[in-house]
Amino acid sequence: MPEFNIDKIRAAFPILSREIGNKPLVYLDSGATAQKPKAVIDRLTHFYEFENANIHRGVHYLSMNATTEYDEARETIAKAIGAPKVEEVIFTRGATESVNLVSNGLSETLVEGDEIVLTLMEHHANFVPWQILAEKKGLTLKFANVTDTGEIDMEHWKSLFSSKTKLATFTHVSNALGTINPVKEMTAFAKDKSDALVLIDGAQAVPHGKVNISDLGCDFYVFSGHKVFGPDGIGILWGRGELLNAFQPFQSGGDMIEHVSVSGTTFRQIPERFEAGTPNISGAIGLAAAFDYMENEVGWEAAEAHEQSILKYATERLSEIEGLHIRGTAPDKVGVISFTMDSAHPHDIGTILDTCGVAIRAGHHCAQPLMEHYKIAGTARASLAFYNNREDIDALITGLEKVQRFFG
Amino acid sequence: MALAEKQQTLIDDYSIIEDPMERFAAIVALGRKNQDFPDDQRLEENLVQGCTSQVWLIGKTDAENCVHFQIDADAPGIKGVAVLMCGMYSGEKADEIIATEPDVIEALKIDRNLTPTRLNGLRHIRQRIVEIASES
Repeated sequence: MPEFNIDKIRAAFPILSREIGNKPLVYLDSGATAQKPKAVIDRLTHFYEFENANIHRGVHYLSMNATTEYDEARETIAKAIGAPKVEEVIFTRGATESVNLVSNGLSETLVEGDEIVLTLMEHHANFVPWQILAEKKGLTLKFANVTDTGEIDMEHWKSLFSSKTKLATFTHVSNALGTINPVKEMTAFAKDKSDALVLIDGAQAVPHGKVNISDLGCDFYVFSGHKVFGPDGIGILWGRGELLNAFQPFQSGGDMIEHVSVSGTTFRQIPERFEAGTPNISGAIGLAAAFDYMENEVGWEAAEAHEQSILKYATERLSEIEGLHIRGTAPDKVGVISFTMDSAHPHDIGTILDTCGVAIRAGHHCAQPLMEHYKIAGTARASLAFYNNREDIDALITGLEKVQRFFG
Repeated sequence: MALAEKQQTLIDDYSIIEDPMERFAAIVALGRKNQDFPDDQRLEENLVQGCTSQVWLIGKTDAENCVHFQIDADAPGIKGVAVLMCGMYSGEKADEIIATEPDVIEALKIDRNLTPTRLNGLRHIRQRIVEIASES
């Protein structure tokens, strides 16, 4: 493993060397989507230049090769996330589709009166599908409160479980606040106190450190490829095989069938059961390249340590700005700093920062229930990845001083 | 002065400031100075739907059938632009208000300082202005 060198790391991400309006790009919006290393970009280009073919049904070299690459991508990802069985790793379009797949599967078994325990810090992707299912099936949703520091109120969360609880779902890391939730302990509690299945939304956790699914004890784990330095439109649902094979297919068509006749169709087992039609072949291969890059070129531990040092520096610098309030101050956080300013609306902050070449996100971050809880319309959010450096934070601070001059 | 002329005067006045950011700052300052929105009208029913920030808009028609608007917003950036727009339409006849698009936004390059979602919010403000004028 090469030594962690931030300049070399940054050079591996071509977009970081471009300018926005004659200013060097300062990318602090990795929570929305992460930038892609050249290794991933090159892998995608190579696939389309030399390897492009459909998988599973071809008899020619290219098709067989693409099938092998696709299957190996699944193996690479399964190993990287500690999935006990390769076939339990399902390729989806992203975390959102993964949650929808599980909610669709559970719609067959959940009945009126059953309860789902969630938290108020869920992204809409792990909120709305359950709300729709609850309305359709007469389920009860119970939401755990969030504390002022941006942590799940554990006593309240624990009090929500009953004999009717059939699912507990929670985010591993809050996209809006950066809080890392104690998901292993939460899973153990849910399993101890109820018969609930546990689904963890890992979309904001996987990009910030190595995740070992086998260690968590959960039943489902979901994340998106584009947030973990991979391509768009590819994501992962990991689930226990016996549960997934009991689900009805989410979508139907080619590739997922065992036998089709006019009298009926039988379906394949996982993973093909949930990968109807031609899948995102290059996306899967590109995502595997992203994990390869992180494992072999960067190293998760070094990446995490660097990001934490930048988070600490950013938190200190931002805390010095008068009238700026950081939302989410849990001791265990990833590189997400959500904040509001007395002088400016989050969108105003984002607009002025953009003129400085600084890209952040402003708004409710697809977490409106959380914003309602805090009684704020939204926040400005600077979200880090391991490729950010101190200069990025200095540029953010300079931009925020401009915001204060402009609106203060 | 016809509304089209009024709009052109506004464009000419603000175009004196050449730097787009300084121009935007002047518009933000215009919003900051405007504090005449009645507190008791910050009601749910007066909120303009479709804006990312909270924008309240009311209008009333005078004896000469001219419509007068008052607007407020919780975001200084959008408030300045909204005050500029409402000031332009205020005191004009309904048919002129309905017929005149707020070209001032593009002419002064204000659109470059606003995100697509906020520009969409401005379109909702314009739509509400037209609705109030139509009802007058």
